[in-house]
Amino acid sequence: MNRQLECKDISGLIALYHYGELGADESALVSEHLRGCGRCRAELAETGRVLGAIRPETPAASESAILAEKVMTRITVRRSPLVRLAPVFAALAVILVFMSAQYTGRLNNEPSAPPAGQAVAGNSDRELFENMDVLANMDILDNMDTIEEMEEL
Amino acid sequence: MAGMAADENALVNAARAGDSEAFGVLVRRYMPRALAFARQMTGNASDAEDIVQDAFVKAFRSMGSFRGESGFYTWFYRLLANACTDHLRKGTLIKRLFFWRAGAPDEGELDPVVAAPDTKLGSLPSAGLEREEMRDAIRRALVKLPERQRAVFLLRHNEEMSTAEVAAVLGISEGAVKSHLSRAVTALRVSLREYTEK
Repeated sequence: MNRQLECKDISGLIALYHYGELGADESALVSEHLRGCGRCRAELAETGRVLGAIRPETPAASESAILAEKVMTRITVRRSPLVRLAPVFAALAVILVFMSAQYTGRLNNEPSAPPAGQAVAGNSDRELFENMDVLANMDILDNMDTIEEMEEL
Repeated sequence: MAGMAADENALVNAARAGDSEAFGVLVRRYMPRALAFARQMTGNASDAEDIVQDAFVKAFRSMGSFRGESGFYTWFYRLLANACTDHLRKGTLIKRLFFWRAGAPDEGELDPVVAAPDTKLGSLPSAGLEREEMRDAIRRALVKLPERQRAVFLLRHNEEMSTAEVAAVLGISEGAVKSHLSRAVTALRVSLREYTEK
């Protein structure tokens, strides 16, 4: 590699040069340019000043300690299995209520045999529509994680 | 240093086995840095606390999936950085959806808690004010950076991670890390030039 860098090339490399992130060859080229260019040296110095002023905003020890305790409380507080499974029980209860309502309805309203020639398929469609709520509630089982998160809130 | 790494490995192994006390040591060890990072990433103290808490809880619950290929610190920062990015994107989306709402904070506006002066700094009021002015300028300059540049810069500069570590945390190439870092530093130099010339 036998080339010289110009100021416009250096500008994009100054930050990486500052952090020592350039390869040996590139770093050597930048160093060579800097030796003969006051403007780029000033830019490097300015970069150093700006970056030297930026530091982590470390929180007070008490703030960190309080937050750490909050995390540990969330981790260690174990809810009883009954509480954790409450949404499942709720969903099952809803399903049972609907099923028993259907069953009771059938007993009270025993349908007569369909007239000859009438399609029987309509019954299964009707049951599906009547049970849409049950199907909707089954989503609860898919969203257990979300429910658990909401409970923690 | 080797002792600390061994100690950390032991803590991580215990935490993977469900030992919450061992995980607690890791939480207390990394909390100050995690909170500092989240504050500078979000520019909001309250959001940062929520994000950091959630990230640690998620880390504990996901310890089983931690294979130890990277350090715990790198793995945890991946969770934390993703949580901060998700939070910022959600905020941007909400701003776009509810653009007509008055009083929404502008880009670069800081949470008052984050921007509150640190009373421990400087004994002379004028020196304290100058330092506070500088800090405020730094916070504003950081918040103005695109989120990816900000994350790269904070991980490389404040967390002193190597380019490879930053790439692993953010799931981008080392070349992309260098590119983001260079742009971030150029933007910060332009934003903060007048303060460092004083």
